[in-house]
Order: sequence, then structure tokens, then C-alpha cells
Amino acid sequence: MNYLFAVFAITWLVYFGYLFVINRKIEDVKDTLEKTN
Amino acid sequence: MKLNSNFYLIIIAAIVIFDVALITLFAPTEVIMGHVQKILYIHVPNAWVGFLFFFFVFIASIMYLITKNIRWDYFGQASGEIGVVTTTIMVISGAIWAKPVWGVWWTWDPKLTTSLIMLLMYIGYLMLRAYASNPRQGATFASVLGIISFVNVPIVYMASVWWRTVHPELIIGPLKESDAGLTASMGFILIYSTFAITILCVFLLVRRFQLRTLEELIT
Repeated sequence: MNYLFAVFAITWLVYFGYLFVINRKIEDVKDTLEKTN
Repeated sequence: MKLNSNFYLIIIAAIVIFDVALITLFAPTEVIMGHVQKILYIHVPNAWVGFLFFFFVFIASIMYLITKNIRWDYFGQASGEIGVVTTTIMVISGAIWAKPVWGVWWTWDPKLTTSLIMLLMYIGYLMLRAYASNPRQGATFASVLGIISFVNVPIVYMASVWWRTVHPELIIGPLKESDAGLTASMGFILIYSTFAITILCVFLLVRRFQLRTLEELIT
């Protein structure tokens, strides 16, 4: 069962971590665009 | 836009949570391997999504070289990045499955070796673009590599057919060799899990593409 939970942890941490980083970058870029305009 | 993306995220999170519940609570426990066999429901869908997104890279690369429309390059880059993420998860989940079943984390089996080569080729595809001094030239070189790299995708899929391998037979796709003893409920959960991970990755693709388009506005 530990092996299965290790796979779950890695999979969902990677996917949602990646999504979190993309969302943060989108917000940062939007902020930069708003400041420059 | 923000409200929409949050709305989709909640829907996708619900789909994923249901997938985890299906795998842990409802998927039958296989007699020989026990709970470790359930890694299949993560490993196989990630392999499938990796193939799909590398196919997107292949199409985007051809279209970029024909049209020189930079949006095809953004699409290829976003697809390649997500393909690398899914393939990395596929390799890691495979290694975690292999340890209790084969007794080793890794072996230089044809299926595993070709998978690793595929992963390294697409990391190279992303690096080539990242380190190019001229973005347009980088996009052109990356597109050529994106087309060449796709040659390896069917080789990975067919490796267990063409060569003697310790990897289990194909259980998904048009050339599947067997159902590997999957019951109807196991088959359903495998299909649902593939659906859940595909939906999640398509959402990631849309967001990554949006980010790349916005970044271009700054530069």
C-alpha cells in the first residue's frame, strides 16, 4: 500500500504543483502588463 | 477568465478525487501483486497521455515549419512540456511498481530503455528552444527535433511486441495483446483514470499556452 501512496503523492504533487506554478506566472505576467499599460 | 479557470479547476479536482477513490476503495485487489498492481491505474494513463501530447508536438512542429505561425510553436512547446511531465511520472511510477514486483527499481529492458530515450529526447526538445539565441531559429530547430523525436513513440509502444522483455504485455490501445487478466471493473477504472488524467493535462495545456501567449506580449 505504501508504494501505491508514494505514486499518488508524486503524481498529484507534480501535477497540481505544476498547475500552481503556471497560474502564479500567469498572474505575474498579467500584473506586469497592467503596470506597463 | 479567472472565474472560468477556477470553475474548470474545481470540476477537474472533483474528477481526480473520484479517480483516487475508485482506485483505492473500489478497484479489486489483484491476487498475486496485491495493492501494488493498482499503480497500473496511474502508470498506463500517464504513458497514454505522454504519447498523445508528443503527437501534438509532432503535429505542431509540422504546422510551424509549413506556416511559420508562432502560435503553432507555442502549442508545441506547451504540449512538449506536459508530455515530459507525464512521461516522467510514468517512468517514476513504473520504477515504484518494479521494486516490489521485479525486485529492482530499474532494468535495461527494451521498453524501459526506449521510454527513457524518449523522455531525454523531449527534454532536449525543450532545452534546444530554451537556449537558442534567436527565438525564431530556436523554434525552427525545435520543430525539426519534435518531428524526429516522434519516431521513437511507436517504438516505445511496440517494444514489448518486437523484443523479448520483462515488461507486461500491451493492455491498452489498438494493438493490445491481452487484457492482462483485467476484470470488467478493473477495465472501467483504467478507462476512467485515463479520462481523468487526460482532462487534467488538457487543462494544463490550455493554461500553459495562455502563459506562453501572455509572455510574448511582454517581450
